[in-house]
Amino acid sequence: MAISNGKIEQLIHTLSTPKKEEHEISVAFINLIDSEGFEINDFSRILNIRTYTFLTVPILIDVAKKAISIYSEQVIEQFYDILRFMLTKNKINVIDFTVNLIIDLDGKNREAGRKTWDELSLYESDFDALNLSQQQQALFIISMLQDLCNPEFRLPKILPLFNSQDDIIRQILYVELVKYCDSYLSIVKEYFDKYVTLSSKQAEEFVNFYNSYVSFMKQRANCKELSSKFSQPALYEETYRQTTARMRELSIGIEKEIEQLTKDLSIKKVRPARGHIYIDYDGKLKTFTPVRRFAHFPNSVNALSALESTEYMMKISDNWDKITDICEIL
Amino acid sequence: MRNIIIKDYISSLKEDKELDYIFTLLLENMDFQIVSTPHNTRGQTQYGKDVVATGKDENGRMWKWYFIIKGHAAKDINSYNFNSPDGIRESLLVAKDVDFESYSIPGFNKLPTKFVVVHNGTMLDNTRVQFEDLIKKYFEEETVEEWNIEKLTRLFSKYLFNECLFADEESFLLMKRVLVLLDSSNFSSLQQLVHIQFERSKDVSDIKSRIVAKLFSSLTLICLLVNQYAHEYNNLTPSKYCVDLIVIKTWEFIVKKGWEKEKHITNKFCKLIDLQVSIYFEYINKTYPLASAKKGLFTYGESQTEPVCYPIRCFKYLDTLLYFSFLTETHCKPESRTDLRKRNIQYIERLIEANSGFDMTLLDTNSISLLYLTLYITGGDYCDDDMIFLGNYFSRIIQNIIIRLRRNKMLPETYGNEKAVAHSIYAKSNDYVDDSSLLLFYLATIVSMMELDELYQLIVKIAEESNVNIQRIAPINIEDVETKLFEGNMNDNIKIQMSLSLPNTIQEFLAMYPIGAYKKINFKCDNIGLPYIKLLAHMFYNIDVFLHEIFGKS
Repeated sequence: MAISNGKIEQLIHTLSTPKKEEHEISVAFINLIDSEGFEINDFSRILNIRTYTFLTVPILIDVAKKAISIYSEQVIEQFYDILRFMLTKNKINVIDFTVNLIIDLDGKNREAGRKTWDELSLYESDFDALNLSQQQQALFIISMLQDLCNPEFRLPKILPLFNSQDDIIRQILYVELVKYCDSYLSIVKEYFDKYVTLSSKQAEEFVNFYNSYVSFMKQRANCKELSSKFSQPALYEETYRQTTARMRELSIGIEKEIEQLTKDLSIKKVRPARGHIYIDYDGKLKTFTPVRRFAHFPNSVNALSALESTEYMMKISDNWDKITDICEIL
Repeated sequence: MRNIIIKDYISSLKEDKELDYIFTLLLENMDFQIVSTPHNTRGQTQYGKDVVATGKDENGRMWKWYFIIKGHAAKDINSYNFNSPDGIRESLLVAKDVDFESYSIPGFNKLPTKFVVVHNGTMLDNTRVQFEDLIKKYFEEETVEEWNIEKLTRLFSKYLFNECLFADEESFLLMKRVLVLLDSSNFSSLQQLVHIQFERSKDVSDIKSRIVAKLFSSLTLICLLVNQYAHEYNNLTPSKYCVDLIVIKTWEFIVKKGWEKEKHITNKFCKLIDLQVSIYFEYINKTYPLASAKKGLFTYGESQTEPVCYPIRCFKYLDTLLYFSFLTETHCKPESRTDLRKRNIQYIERLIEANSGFDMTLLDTNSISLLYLTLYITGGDYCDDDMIFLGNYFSRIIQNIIIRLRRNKMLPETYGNEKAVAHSIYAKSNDYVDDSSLLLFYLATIVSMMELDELYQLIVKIAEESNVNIQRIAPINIEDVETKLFEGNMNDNIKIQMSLSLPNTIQEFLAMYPIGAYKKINFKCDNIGLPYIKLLAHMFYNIDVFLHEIFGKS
């Protein structure tokens, strides 16, 4: 069951009435979302080109929060179309909306915000986190780094905060990054080298931390006594066999996708009998590009006990308004 | 071929400990009587003399021998280390100037003296000229000898290796195999080699017979060779495995022979334990700083397999550290025991706190480590913080069991079957058995004793939710426990009590399963002051601990 067209027309009518306050518009949207018969697919019917002109950032945030409170953070996917459209018209609003969600006190809103950030590739935008207030910067760092997802989308806008003149911000960033390095040591250093230009006590500490971490990891990697390959070979091989079987299963899925793609594009599938270099129609030598699914995987996840991973999940979805001290979030 | 192996081995030894140690073994097998070694002079040389012994030369004439041992960096003698302070020249002259006197050995002081420069390398020709000149000037004819690598190889080969370890072709071939496969952690040849040594001695009845002496020499040589090559591979796992195997099998042999009260034998056994201490010391020294760092036992490069390997490695490491703690505490001087114990407990606590792999009991047999951990901490002086540590640790273990049960529908694997755990890394496999548990009974016992009511209630909840069959074990024949334990085959000496119920309260639990009811098992190793080798056997064979061992009253 979906909501009736009449209800939508009624909403448009309400929105079009002159001199409507922002909060009144929000209430109109929220009432509709709350009304009987409204379902998740209806979001595209109320968030579209017709309502776009009325959707200021505060209204969009109100609507998103209401939606998330009812349907959980996955519902944010229903907002992507309108947000993509908005990106072409008013990029700043989209960034404003997303960042506001990212630093929200409610854990689910933050998660929705981060999903949006990744989906819309906002790391490519000219957003500068240094323009946020001190508190917003702190929350932005903590929220963006807390779920260990997509470091390549998060770090480009986080690392420049090392260039902040604010000592507290640099300190918070240092503390958070040190934890983050358990999962993504090399990628953090890569972005650190790219974005950090200001020399500061914290930047220096981070470099020292990185160097000692790398030397520890080298020693640890060379310690055969603590390596499963050398000290638990039978167990290692057995487990490794399971993980490769799992990878095979995943790659079968990818192959099926490719097959579907070739079918859709009406391309004839040809398999090279040897090697990976072929002669093109113009006589030039070309190389096949391997099809890869690539994602950064946080190393530290496999180091978590069942209890730790539960605590980690709880921390991500924690509502910060219940927390009185920022150190509890850190 | 044999001589190549021996020469290679001897030339790789360092002066401190290694060359001294095996050289003393050689002299014993050459029928020398050792009077003084660096070990019993606490590493201080007796005025140039590293080892003092009495014995006959090749012509059958009796001498007192002063051995000056130079190894490692000084093994190849050139004019620099010949003339340097504490070099050959100075050591020889000091050894001559200050006589070694002993009144406890009849006739010792009247024996003529032989000076021997022992080095596991070669002497440069121009240095030899100086050496000969020195002898001519300061020493009587034929009283100074040089035992270099060639001579040492001949002597070691004749008196030690060929007499003991390489006495039969099979042992020689196996030893070669062991050394080649050392880094692969495939220890089947090593097990076979050790087995053969005991087989050779199975019919011996005289404790002072040469066969017994040769057995102990062979076992020591196996340990030394494996340890030496393990260093070359930069992997001490084989050394530790080898010395553990040899200690366990030797004790099994001693108990079966009924020689546990024979001082002559237990002294030899204690020398093996000394060797074990030094190997463990090196192992822990090398690995502990890494292991005790945050998640230090986790291997990042192999992280996909780590959900299984990491927790299992943690418990194996805990066993090692616990054994070493028991070992060092028992053998240290009484006045430093309290401090050492405190330090050992701190080391254990730091390790466990740094690695959450210790919180994941994937195997029911992890109870071995947990029981011995509790025994170690509560078995002597401890402070309130230690009890808080234990309480928190058991709380984490029990919470993890609950989460894993609810999330993956798995309890710790009943038989301690690591492969089944590996098969179940993503989903429970058919060979994963978890419908019976001893671990839960052990945990209930421990938390009841510590009066941790909340944790006890959680265990009751696990039992209810999972419907697991709680069980406990007792020995059928108490007298047989030690032999069976060191043999590694306890199955036919275990009686199991199944379908135990967990009452609602700790008080009821302790009334139903009173701690005082466990009868003490008398272990022969307890009587000679080596009670901890039981832990070694438990962890080596993965044999469950009887609560009688931990709580038993006579």
